[in-house]
Amino acid sequence: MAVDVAAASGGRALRTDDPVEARFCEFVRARSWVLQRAAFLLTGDRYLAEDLVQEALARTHRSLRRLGDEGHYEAYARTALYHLHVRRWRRSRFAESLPGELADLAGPDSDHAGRSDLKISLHQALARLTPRQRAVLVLRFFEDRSEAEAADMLNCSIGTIKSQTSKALARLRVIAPSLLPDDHQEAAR
Amino acid sequence: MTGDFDRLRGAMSDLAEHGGSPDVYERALHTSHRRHRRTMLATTGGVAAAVLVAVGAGVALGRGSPHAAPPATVQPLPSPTTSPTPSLSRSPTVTPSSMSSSPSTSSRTSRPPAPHRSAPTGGCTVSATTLDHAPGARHPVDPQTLRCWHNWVIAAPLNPPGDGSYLFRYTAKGGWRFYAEGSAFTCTDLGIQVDPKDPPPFCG
Repeated sequence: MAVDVAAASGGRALRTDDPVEARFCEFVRARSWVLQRAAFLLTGDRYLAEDLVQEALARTHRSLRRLGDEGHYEAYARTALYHLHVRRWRRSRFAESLPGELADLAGPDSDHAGRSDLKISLHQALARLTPRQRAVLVLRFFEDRSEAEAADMLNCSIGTIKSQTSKALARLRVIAPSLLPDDHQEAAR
Repeated sequence: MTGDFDRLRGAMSDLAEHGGSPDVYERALHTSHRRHRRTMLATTGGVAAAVLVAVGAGVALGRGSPHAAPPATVQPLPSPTTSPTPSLSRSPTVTPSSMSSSPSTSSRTSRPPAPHRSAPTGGCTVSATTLDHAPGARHPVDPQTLRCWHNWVIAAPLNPPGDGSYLFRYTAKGGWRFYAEGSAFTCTDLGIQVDPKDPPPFCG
């Protein structure tokens, strides 16, 4: 049975006879933006994020037959995304890009100047963390993953997640204190 | 701990919106297929290289022998008999003769298959090279002088230090071993009961 799949690519329609391929296409169309958001936080650059998502999805595509159930696609792609991110960081030839374009997005007449300031601060601060610290922060505070889930995702121990989180927050407190609760408020809790 | 970080959470959520929502389906598909092709090419190339190396090694070994033998063929095992005459898996095809009328039955193939220096004569299914590597062997034997009888082989050395010949014996446990050297042997000393219809060629 041929399945029409409206690919997100410029409205073009892809036609495939393979139902597994069709399910994967639907998954990409429906969920790639979620991966893209996480990838953007990890890389700080939209184009690097696209590359990361593309690579993670390609890996997922190659494992479609093994994954079987469609519900596993996203978990697999997400894990691949974080693994690729950390692996790229380990490669010495990989040069990280520093954020620069985000300041243009926060207009002076914005209704949410405060939130824009926080975004810019966060964007710059994330670029000054190590990729692993960045990954831990994204998993814990963007994806709301538990320490155990984050450890599973990054293939490390829970202790590593705790220590990396602590170091990342300590660094953020120095370079972007506005993002974190005040010390006296935290002490009062 | 994470409940105290609403500002950080909010900023992350806002910042993530800047990631956009690009189309990556076709690109991911293209990358996946490209990787698959690369893997297939690498696998095929590896297999081809392994085959070339194996063929090249075989050719090099064949050329390295001073008396290159014709390509060895695997001799099919004949019907079993009680005789423990050895059969080497890479022995060349030979013309049957009365001397080796008893077929080989042993399947001893653990000894490393050495290249044959020459085709053995006299209907032997053992090569001179095998005998040269036999424990106790003293000098290389002349492949033209091999004469077999059951699990015994007598051969003259290539550069004879004397006038004696070498006697080798095969056992299932130890394979081919150098047994004795001399110009004449006595079958009773060797523990061989002589059958007048099938006398050993090395007993006086």
